[in-house]
Amino acid sequence: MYINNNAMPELPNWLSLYLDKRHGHDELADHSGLNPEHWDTLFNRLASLTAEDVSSRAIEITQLLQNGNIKSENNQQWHFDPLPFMFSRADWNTLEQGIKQRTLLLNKIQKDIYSEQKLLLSGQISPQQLYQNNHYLREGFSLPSDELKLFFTAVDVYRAPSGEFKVLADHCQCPLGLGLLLKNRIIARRVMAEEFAECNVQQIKEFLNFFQEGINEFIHYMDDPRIVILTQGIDDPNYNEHAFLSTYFGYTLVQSADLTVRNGEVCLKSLQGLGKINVILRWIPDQSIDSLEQTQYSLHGIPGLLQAVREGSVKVLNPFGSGVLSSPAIQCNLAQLSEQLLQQPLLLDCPKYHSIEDVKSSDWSQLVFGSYKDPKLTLDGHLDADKIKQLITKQPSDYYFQDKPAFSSAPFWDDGKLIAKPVVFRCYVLITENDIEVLPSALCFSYQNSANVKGAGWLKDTWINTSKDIDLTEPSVPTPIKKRMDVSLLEGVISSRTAEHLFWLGRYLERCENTIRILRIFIDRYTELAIYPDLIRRSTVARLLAAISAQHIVYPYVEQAIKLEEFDSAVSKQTAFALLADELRAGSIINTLHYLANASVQIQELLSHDSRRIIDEINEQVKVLKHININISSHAMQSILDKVIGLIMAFNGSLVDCMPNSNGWFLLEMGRRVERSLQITSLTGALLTQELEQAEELGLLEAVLSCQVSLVTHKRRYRMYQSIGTGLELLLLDAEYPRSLLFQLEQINQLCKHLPTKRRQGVIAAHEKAILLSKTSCYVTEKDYLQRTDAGIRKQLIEFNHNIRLNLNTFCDVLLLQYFSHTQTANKLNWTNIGQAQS
Amino acid sequence: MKYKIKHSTTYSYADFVSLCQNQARLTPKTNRAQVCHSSRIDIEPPVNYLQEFTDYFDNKVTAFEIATQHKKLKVTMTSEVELLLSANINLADTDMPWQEARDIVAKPNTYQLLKISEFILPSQYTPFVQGIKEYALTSFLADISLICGCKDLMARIFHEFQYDPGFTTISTPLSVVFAQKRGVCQDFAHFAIACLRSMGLAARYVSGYIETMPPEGEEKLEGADATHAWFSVFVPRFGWVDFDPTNNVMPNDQHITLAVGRDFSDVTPLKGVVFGGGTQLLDVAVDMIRLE
Repeated sequence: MYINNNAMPELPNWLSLYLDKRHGHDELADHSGLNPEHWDTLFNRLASLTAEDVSSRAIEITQLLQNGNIKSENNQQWHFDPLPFMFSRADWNTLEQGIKQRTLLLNKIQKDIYSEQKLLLSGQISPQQLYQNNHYLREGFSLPSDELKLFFTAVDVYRAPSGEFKVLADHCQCPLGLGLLLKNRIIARRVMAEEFAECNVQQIKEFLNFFQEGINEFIHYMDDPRIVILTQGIDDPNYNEHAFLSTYFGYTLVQSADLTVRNGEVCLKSLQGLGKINVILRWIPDQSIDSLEQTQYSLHGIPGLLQAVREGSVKVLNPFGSGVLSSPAIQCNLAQLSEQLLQQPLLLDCPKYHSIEDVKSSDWSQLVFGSYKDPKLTLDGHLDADKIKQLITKQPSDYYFQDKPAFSSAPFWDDGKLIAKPVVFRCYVLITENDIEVLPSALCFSYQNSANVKGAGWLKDTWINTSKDIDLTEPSVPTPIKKRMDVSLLEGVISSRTAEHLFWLGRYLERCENTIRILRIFIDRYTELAIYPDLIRRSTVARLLAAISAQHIVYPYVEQAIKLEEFDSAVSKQTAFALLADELRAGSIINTLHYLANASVQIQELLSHDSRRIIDEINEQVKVLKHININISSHAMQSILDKVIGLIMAFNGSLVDCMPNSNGWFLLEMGRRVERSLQITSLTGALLTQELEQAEELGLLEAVLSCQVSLVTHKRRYRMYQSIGTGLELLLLDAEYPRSLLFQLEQINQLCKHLPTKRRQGVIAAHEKAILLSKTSCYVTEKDYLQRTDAGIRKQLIEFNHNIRLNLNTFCDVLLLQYFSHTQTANKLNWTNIGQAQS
Repeated sequence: MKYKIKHSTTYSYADFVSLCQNQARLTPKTNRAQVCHSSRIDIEPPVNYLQEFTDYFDNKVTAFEIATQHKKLKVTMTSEVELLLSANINLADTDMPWQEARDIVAKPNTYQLLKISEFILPSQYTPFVQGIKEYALTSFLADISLICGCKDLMARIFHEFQYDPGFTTISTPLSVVFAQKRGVCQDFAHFAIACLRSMGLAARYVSGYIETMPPEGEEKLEGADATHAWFSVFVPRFGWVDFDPTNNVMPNDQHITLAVGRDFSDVTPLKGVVFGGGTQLLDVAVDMIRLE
């Protein structure tokens, strides 16, 4: 029972309500010890809060979580609880000792399994059970022995009714959740800053420094080491976490296709060419890591990776084959193995294993059932009894029973009150050169959902109390910088894939902005027409309508003469709606936003927190757009457009500060300029090439200038001399005017200098030639030449625009081939068969 | 008995391949029955990387990479192997009942036996399909000796199964082979191995070559020999003993061993991953020439 004996003010109602109830075996009620100082400090602090106060904190957390939340495997959100979990110093010490011992033991077992196999010979690990486990990877035997050491693992523990800690699972391959824990801690510190300070919570920063130092150990002698985090990509449910860790540690996030093996070395296909990789933090399972050597062919494998490991040219963490440590063949015997390998009793054991024949009783309600061969099979002794009966008749030695874990519960804030939910703690461990470090916190989670809140589960930050006097004197020691390498060398490594996504992100941003401007002006004009139906307005709207519906002036910028049709206001509305929200229409705003959001997910590790928030909001807008229908008023469309363009502007603004060119950000700018050039040529090409009445022409010119935000400049500059010619001069030929075509080309030319050259000096690369040609044609062309008509058509303008378009296409093609082309996919050879000829 | 072996594998691609990563298990083994005196691998186009290592089952693996553009890959292994012919000389003395052999490998007490005990477990291509143990037990009545049982099993497969090259591929399940009683050497080997393992005996898959004889009066054609597969049984206190169910013989002077493993997937002679290439054509030619 929790005893309030430390001269505390009276407990708030919401808390005493919880304490007065019985909840199975509860952390607070049953396991807080005789002198629960660790909880006292927290409650002391919280005593002044009403239930409403706690609820408002819960809401604040939900809001903070909205952006960049790390979702669960089935893409559901986690709930972060406003109440942290408190570990007493004594409990934590016990746990820490146990975890250290267990990790040491697992490390020794891993070494033995993949070399001498003494433990198999002595029968402590059943060879048959091990050999049949698909995590036992025979390829591991041909790897150097120092490639066997574990690096970063996790262990799930819970508290049994006796108060002892027990292990639910070891995670020795890809321990998930560290990103979640960090995120949780950042939010907890923000929402509970005062409590955090007062409770003397042990910091986790030191552990994260150890993590980085641990990696540096492998590469300390290198001048320019490269460390990457390997993920399956955005389809991986844990992609957000991988991206978060990549940002947090500053390691490049890569996918399998970004890596290639050459000459026994793993290389990153980067903008600069192939760059050697020294350390891979793998977040893909080891069974499908090498599509050449391993029997299971996988698209996520890197052919030749194991050969590179065998050569010692790359370090893969965690080591290959470590998944086997979680197999029941090893887990069932850890207590004995501890006696044998460490000469110590095992401090942290898992629930007891039983062989099928040892379980005499037919009541299996307190047991779970599993298979040595198939790690995925777990059955409930009570619910699945029939199925179990069926299975054990065949090959009883393939199966086992295990005691059902009885989790302790902890209070969670759910729907305005505290509810007891069963909890498990995931603790993280680092195996460094000489030591084993345990992260002084844990991911405290509960999978139990409540009636009204569905989600992945519940999380709590876990606080470990440090003894007060030590904490005050302990300064946070900054990591000594041992690195000798030139830091600036490291920053510039991005994969070709990332580079390509940056380029496209730039294009989508610009495309979206431009399409919105065109749509706004179009809606303006046709609503205006209803009020003032004069001929000039009618002609402008009709031409805009034709140019939009045939996609001349919006993506994909069809190059053709406009076909005018009889103007109809209902068609105008329909066209406007389609351009806004028709998902089937290429170049519609909803589609472009969708692509934009996708491209930004692909590079999310480079984005700042604020940028990611804006992307979340853009995604919200896409959802809004999905639900509108044709009956929406023009006014409502306008207000959606205002909202979206506001978001695009905010996103642009948020990028400005985090765009060092060395990280490939110039490609975003380049994409933007290319797209804008295409827009200018398509606008002038579609709307200004036909000779019309002067008033009609000027009406159209006004629309074109408005779309390019150049109306005011044009008016001020040319006043009474305004003509198609002056418009073309401003939009196409003026090298100083930031919205002109020539200005875009000059910018692209400048940005090309950031691309690594692949040619010898003095020779211009193909993509630069294309830009140079366009630039020159802008410089040497006169406005009067473009304005000239022949049989009512400005043929020179059409040709001018056409050539620019051709050159821009060439530019993009060369860029793709030279810098982004590493995305070729691997094919499996038809492996030679036995008896191919005859036998 | 000495042989010279030339084993060529040629891949022709519709499009250019920009990079290929390969692993070959083409070097003949040296063991109790044979000595590999020399071996040389020739690869066209030239490799930019080549390394050898020994795999889990003690096969020699050649890992190589070609990073130059090519439309054709040719891998030729030339080797000289001597068959010792003495391997099975004392086999006649081995009359160990099969149950005894089974009990010995079930409780491995040496490192060697531990490794062997892995071969009593089902594998990807040798699952214990319905009825297979019953089929096998017909050859292992009472306390018949291990060798006699295996000979009987080999003969039954030879007589009851039809050799039919077009019928199966590597992905044909063993149950189909068993039900239809048709297949090629690979299927017969897998089937026999599954039979033996289902009774707790250690059996492994052997890939290699067999010498073929031209019809009387005709000259032997170039490239007419073949890659072949058979099975091997572990006889305690003696060693691995080979059986070829496709020809109903115990390999002696015409079989050369390339690699061993649990089943085909462990011994694939040449495998690879290519970037680009499009459709591919595969051609294999083997020559096995008697030197003395």
